[in-house]
Amino acid sequence: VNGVYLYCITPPGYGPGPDLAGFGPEPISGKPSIGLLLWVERLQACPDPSVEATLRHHAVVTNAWRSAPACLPVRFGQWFRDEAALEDRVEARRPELEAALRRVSEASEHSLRVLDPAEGQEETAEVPTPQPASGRRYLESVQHRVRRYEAREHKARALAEQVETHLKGVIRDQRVAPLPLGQGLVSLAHLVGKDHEEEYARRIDDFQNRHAELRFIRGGPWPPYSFAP
Amino acid sequence: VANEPSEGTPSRRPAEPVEDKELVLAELVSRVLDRGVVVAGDLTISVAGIDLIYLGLSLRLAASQTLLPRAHERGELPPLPNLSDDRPGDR
Repeated sequence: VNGVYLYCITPPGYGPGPDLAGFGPEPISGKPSIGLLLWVERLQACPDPSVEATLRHHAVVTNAWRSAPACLPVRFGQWFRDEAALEDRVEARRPELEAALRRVSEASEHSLRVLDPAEGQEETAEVPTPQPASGRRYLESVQHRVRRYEAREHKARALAEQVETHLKGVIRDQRVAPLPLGQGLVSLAHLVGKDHEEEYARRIDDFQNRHAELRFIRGGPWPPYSFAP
Repeated sequence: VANEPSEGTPSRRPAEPVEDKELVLAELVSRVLDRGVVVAGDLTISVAGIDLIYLGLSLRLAASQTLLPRAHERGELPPLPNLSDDRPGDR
């Protein structure tokens, strides 16, 4: 088997245990790469995508994240025809990977999805738009939808700013992803040092109490997927 | 994996309804697919440019999220996420 599947990157000296299972029968191993350790598995081909495969990938990454002081998760589905191909690609991005690994050291990712129940009620009460009778009406309806989209995105980003301000000194970084209608208002990712996790939870509870009109769904802690380059 | 508190379930709500667990699972899977270091030039996570895993989760998400039950009924399926995310070489 020449193919290699890459799970994540850690500092040297924190390789996988002998019993860690991946996609195939071959054990997962740590491949040294000048200041980095690549968690890899020999696989003939890339695994087919599925939720189960995604979670299997995540389980290996989580193992690395728990055992090493820093872990840079790799996205699902990165398979190389041989070790030389893997080394070439890592070499091309080495400075960036090393910097990112330092940034996520001793840290976790937490997710916060914000739902706006008022938005759901508005949507449910909305009367279906009649077919536009003219080109002008059509353009007006498009303009209305665009403005509504922009207002929604503005609201999501403003809320994200409030959250970031409220968490100042507790989080190292925040990622903001406004959500499509029907999935909530915004999804936030927070990079939290392991020594700040209790304070993070307390401040999120506090923010939630101040915004009873919204609903917050928390996830994590996870390996810092959203903070990898 | 998603049932272990340290790996993804909401840590401060012991009695989350099922749909919330699905939301958290969707959060996790979307992260594994959409985030993380991209080293390889080609990722085998999509077919003809459509990410099937995320599509499936998005539909489940829309169905389980009772806040907006009619959006799905009207056929307004949630748009696919921007998996490229402006990062070169991830497709």
